[in-house]
Amino acid sequence: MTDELTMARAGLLDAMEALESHLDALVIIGAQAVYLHTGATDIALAEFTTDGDVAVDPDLLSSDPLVEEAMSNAGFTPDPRPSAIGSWISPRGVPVDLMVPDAVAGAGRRGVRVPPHDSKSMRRARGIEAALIDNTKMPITALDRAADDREFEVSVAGPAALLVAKLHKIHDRIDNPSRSDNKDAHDIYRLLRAIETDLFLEPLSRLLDEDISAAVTGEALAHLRELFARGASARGSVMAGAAEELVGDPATVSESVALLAQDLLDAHGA
Amino acid sequence: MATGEVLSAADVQKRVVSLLRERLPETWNLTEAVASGQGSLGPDLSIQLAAPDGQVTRLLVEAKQLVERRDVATLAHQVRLRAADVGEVPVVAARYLSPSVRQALTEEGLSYADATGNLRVLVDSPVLFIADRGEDRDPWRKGRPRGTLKGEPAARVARALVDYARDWSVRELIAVSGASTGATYRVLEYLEREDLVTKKEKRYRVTDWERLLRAWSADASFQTTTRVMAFIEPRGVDAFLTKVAKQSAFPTAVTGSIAAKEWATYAPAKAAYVYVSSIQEASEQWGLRPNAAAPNVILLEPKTVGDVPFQNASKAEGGYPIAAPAQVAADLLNGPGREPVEGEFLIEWMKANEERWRSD
Repeated sequence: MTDELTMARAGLLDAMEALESHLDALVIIGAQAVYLHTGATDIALAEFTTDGDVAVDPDLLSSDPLVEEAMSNAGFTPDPRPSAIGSWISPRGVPVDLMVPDAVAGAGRRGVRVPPHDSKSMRRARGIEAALIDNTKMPITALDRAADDREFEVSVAGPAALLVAKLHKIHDRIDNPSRSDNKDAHDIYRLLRAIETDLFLEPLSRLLDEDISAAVTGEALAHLRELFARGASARGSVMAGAAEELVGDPATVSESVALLAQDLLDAHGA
Repeated sequence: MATGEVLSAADVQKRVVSLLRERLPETWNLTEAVASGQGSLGPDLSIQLAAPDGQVTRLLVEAKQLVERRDVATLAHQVRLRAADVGEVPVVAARYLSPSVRQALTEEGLSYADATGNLRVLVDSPVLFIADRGEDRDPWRKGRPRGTLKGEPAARVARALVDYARDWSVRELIAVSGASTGATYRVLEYLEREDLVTKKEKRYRVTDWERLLRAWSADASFQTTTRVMAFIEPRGVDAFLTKVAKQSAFPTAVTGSIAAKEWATYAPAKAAYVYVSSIQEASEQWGLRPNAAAPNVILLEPKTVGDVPFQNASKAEGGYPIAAPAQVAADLLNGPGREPVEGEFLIEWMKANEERWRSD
């Protein structure tokens, strides 16, 4: 377990604490949510993340306290970069992103329209809609419980919702990928490998039935086919393998993620 | 090399002289003297070598048609007695010396030469070292090869002899190994010639299980004794082993690094090597997909070794069956990449913990 991972979890807990009265409106997404589902496995690439990602459901968000005030009072500062709307830096330096799914974020381009909260307190993001539908409550604790005994019961996005969100993220950046995008592709492998194929099917059907998530889920399945299921040399499969360069077995990862993606699409189509 | 008539002892001697002549530095002088007149007590040939500085040594050549592994110790004693004087160096010569005989001679510190060009001559003063490689099989041998440890009977007998620490009557060995009577005698004959078993009052005993294990491994690699097919389990090796642990419908035995880690911990394995009675049945049962690009499961279906790989299998901590340590070590020695090193590591463990795997 890395110090970064422990720090990232602590940052997430700081945000939970700050937004405790809004806890029901929050859903943990991103790498930390992925690891909560996949657990420790015999995967060569260690779990690694330095931040926390949180989806916010505006329908469940009350008007008091204001998100920006709650965060500031807990010692968070907004990331000053204009591109980082909704990104808050914890007192210990961990970035925590508060994001509202595009489908429910009201009008606007990057900020959100969730009055009375400040439009720049949270960021609009497309692809995370599924997290509002497919999630389960889990107890979230520190990774080093001896030093930090906080615990919050919070919703965590389900594997299907995380798959949809990761696929959108990879697809959005496919023309300009960086090394960190390889890790996102590797998270797809991690999810598909740890979760039995059948367990994705019911949540996927539900996501395709719900108005707010149907479109992004349909697109995500198309991305899964294009970027992974087409084979080990498809771009997403290659990126997932590249994430294990020097530490694991890139070829096996690329082959495996392609097969698992095919399995899922076959089972879903059947 | 011509492989017509079998060479005479004189032919062997001539050949040894010319081999040496061709390989000596030009500044050295070679003179030969055949038949020293001491009859069977003397060497067959005496070769005098003179270095440029005038120092002289005499090679006393003992020329044989054939030398068996089991003859080496006696032969070494004889030739050493003969080369008692300062400046005299014994040399064992034959029309052909097999790899195991050459190795035994080297371990004895003896010089040797054969007519196919295998050569190792070591002189302390004047300092001289000549070595060369000839054939690894006897080109003059007619008919059936004198035997190897290839094939099912040899596998049965070798594994029984290695797996159990005991003296054997032929009848007992037949019963335990499952080899036929005729085949068991043939294998034992070969093992005796190779000095891998000794016979005393109708009972056979292994001289050195490690050497037997290595000899068998060298002759019968899993690549030649089994049908090998590569697969991928996209959920990884651990998920695959969990499936293996759950089934018992057909004979299965995990070998290679994964089996070895039960006894001698090493690095994590990228691929699982698994003996199965039928590749088709197993791959269907376990949902494996054929994959040559990046396999993580290799299935081995015995082709010429019967059910030997499954003999004395046990259960790993993870619940899946693993082959016996001797089988695993033999497979690792023939494996790719760092596996031979892991094989050596396992053999070290087997030497240090014989009572834990070698039953009475």
